[in-house]
Amino acid sequence: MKNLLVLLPILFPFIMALLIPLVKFKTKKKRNILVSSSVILNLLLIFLILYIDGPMKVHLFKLNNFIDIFFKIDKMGILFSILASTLWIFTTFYSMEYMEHEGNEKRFFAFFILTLGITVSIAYAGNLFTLYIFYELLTLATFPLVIHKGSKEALYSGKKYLIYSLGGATLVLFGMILLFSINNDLSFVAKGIISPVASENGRLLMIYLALFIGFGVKAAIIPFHSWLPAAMVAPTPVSSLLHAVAVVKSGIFALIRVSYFIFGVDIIERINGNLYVSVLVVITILLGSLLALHQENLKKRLAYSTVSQLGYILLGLVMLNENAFTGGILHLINHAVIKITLFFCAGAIYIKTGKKNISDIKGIGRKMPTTMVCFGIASISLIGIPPTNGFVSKWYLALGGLGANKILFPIILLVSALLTAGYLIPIIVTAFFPGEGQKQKRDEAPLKMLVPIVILTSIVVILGLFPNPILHFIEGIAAKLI
Amino acid sequence: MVKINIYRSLPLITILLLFISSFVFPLIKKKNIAKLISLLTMGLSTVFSIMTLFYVKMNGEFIFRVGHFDAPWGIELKIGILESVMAILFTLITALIIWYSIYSIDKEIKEKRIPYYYLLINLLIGSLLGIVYSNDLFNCFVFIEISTLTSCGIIVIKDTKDNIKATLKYLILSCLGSGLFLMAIAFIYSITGNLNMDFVHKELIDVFSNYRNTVMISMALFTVGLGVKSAMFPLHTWLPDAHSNAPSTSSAILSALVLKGFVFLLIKVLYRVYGLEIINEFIVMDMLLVLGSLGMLIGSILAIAQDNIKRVIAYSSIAQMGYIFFGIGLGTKYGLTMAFFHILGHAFTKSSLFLSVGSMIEQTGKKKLNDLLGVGKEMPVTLGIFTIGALSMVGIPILPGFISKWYLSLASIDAGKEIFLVVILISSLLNAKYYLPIVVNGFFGEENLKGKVFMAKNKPIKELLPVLILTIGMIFIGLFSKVIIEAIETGLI
Repeated sequence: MKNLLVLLPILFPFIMALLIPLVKFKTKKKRNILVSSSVILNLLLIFLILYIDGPMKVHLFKLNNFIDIFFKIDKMGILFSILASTLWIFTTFYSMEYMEHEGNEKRFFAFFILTLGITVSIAYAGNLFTLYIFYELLTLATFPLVIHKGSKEALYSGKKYLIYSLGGATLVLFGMILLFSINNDLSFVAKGIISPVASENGRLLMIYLALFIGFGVKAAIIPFHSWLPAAMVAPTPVSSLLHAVAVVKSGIFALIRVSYFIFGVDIIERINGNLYVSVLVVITILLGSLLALHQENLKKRLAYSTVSQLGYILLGLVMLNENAFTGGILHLINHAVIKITLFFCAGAIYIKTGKKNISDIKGIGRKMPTTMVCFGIASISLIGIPPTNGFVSKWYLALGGLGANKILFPIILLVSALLTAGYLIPIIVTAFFPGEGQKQKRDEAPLKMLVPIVILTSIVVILGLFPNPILHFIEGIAAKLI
Repeated sequence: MVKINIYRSLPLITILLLFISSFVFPLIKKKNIAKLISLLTMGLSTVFSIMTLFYVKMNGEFIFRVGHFDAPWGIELKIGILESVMAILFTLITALIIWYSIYSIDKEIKEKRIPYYYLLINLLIGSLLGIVYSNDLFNCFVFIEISTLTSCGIIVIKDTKDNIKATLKYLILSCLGSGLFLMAIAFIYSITGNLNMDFVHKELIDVFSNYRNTVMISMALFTVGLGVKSAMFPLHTWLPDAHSNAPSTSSAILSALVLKGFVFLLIKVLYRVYGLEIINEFIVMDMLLVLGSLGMLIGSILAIAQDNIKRVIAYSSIAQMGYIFFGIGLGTKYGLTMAFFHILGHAFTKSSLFLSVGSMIEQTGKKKLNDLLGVGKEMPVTLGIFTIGALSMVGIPILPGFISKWYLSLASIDAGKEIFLVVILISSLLNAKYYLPIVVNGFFGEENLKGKVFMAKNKPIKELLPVLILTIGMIFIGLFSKVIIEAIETGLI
């Protein structure tokens, strides 16, 4: 009975998502109250199940060894689910205001909450098959959000998104079938489930690469990244949440599961899997930053920055040592918070001025000082200047690189940090120092948008000043895995 | 001393019920009574088939001698689990399709012909049941001929130029198929002197080494003959025309059931008449595997090129039949099991797809994909049903399409033919390529939805109920795939 509680935060959003289209709301306010309270309630439900002791696992539906929908709660899952649900709350408030400009809010909120349920399910998935199912569902549930506008461009980007995601999922399926044929169990166990004598290296390597690239499509590894900038056509709350947190981070989360809970460090080292993928990762970091430099469109620039930053996280994962892992996970959290702030700022600017391009927003810092100050703080964190949170995670990543005896990695981190500064600082400069002194009246975004931005920025600052609690938590995970 | 066991007679009763009841239809003037009788007889047949399954489950496989003559003189019906499952599949799905047709058939064919339409359906399903049950090669041939003529009938009943053209094409190719089948029987009869499958098998094992070429030729003739009828690539050319021009209910029956009957017969011939030892001497299995793979790929590629929604689904049938041939062609028990499972899953999926598309065409009057943009706003329930079917085809987990793909993949690894994994995966991507745009353009897109009124053309829910039941049945097949697969495995021995 106690185990069934695990299902609460998973099923609740699904039920709410079904309910929202059915209920006829008298006013927008009532709908907003329902949406926000269900999102908040879901976070509370997650906290509730954390307070219950004992191992929490539940087989929702078991056909055989393979088709087995199995949820298990472990520290990694807790981390991801809390991160996602917390950011979901901010996004909900933000989108209440924002989506009034986009219309069709009912459909938006239904899929929005559905996506929350799917993301939590991904976090709690106890085996590869469950993860795969919800990974596929994530594609399907976020698709209507991406093409929300319904314009030709949106449909085109949506098609691109579907093709990339389904292609990736097919590769995952390919890897999973091969994996299942050599190992009859796909549950996640720390340090991996493949016995060292199980199979020849060549086949294991093939499986690892298939899974890595397959899930890597969602994590926007170059050359499979181009859906991400295209998906920026979506409304800003969607871009920020899905393409900074839910979708791309689910890809990374899946890669963590595959690397550390299916294969395990020893096997990956034996088959040299990390060497092959680290090439892709390094390319992703550098090329992502370089491409970001060229973008005129603010959201696209942020999107390419996401590509590059996801590369950092992946770098932390493929170095296969404790410091690097800690750095990677820490960056996963930091990047999520930072990027969502940046996107929210971009969205606020768009709503107030209707401008998308960087050259058009000259002097916006005078008009919307609070927004742009938050943008500045988040940018500085992303570049990694101490004492911000970006610095902490990059520090650990660099330590990990040194620990792996690869001096190349810290150098790449430094170069990329410079590039990050290269594409973010000019935005702040244009915003605050427009050159000619046009006087603009102060005109900030509505409170429902501004408050989440400010709170998120303060979280960024707090994470930078007091990283220790989270750091210890992650180190605890890392110690068990490596 | 003859103790009549009513359960054992049920298969024969079912066939006779369908055949005899069909003679009533020409006498009926009122279409509603025809509909009612058709639904009743088919419902009754479903009940009988289910009772047969329970009997077989409890007492094991049995042989029923028609007219109490012993084989090899008399005709035998051989009923095992698989046969009774197939019978339930045929009768149940047809019953649902007839239920659906009650509301829609008037719009597609002339009122005068409606009783004849149900006559043809009853004959067709009766003959399919005959093919499934019969243990006698010549008897099977007779049933094949009946089913060929009746399926031509349910296509041409719409009576337009295209229909007649498609039917002629189908008739010619189909007759070619039955001709080859008859020829194969002649070869077999000349070397074994028997027509009963079990007896032929016994004889073949003895004489096989003396008549290698004859055996090979007969096997090729059987495979090609039945391949034509079940749309094996590259013998599929009749299918898209026939299935897309027929009334939607006919398309559903043809695609979901008729094709399956012939595949089932092919399996029966290969395994019961020849047996694995003889088959493995020849390359028939490898041919099936390769043709199945080609069908999976090329059927889907051709489907992408279509602009008529019914043709898309018709080509998709060719691809799906490819999966079934693929499973048979693996030549392992595992592969065969999955071929069976795919027969079941696909029957439900394809019939619900055809019916939902049929109601879209019926309500909007449009067939072209480009004209059906935004149809999801006008008919959300119908397109919703279509979406679930499409997702199964694409291979979203738990739905039967995914289960078949997964186990077929495992079966091909199991058989040491890993390269075919790639074929399965590519074909499922191709499926996504032509199914998802229909769904996406139906539900989304500003331009697509412009000027459409929400639920404007929706069918009443009671008319959609049979399609809904088909969809639910499909989901259940996915959910209970374990039980079903195990049952098939026990049935195969």
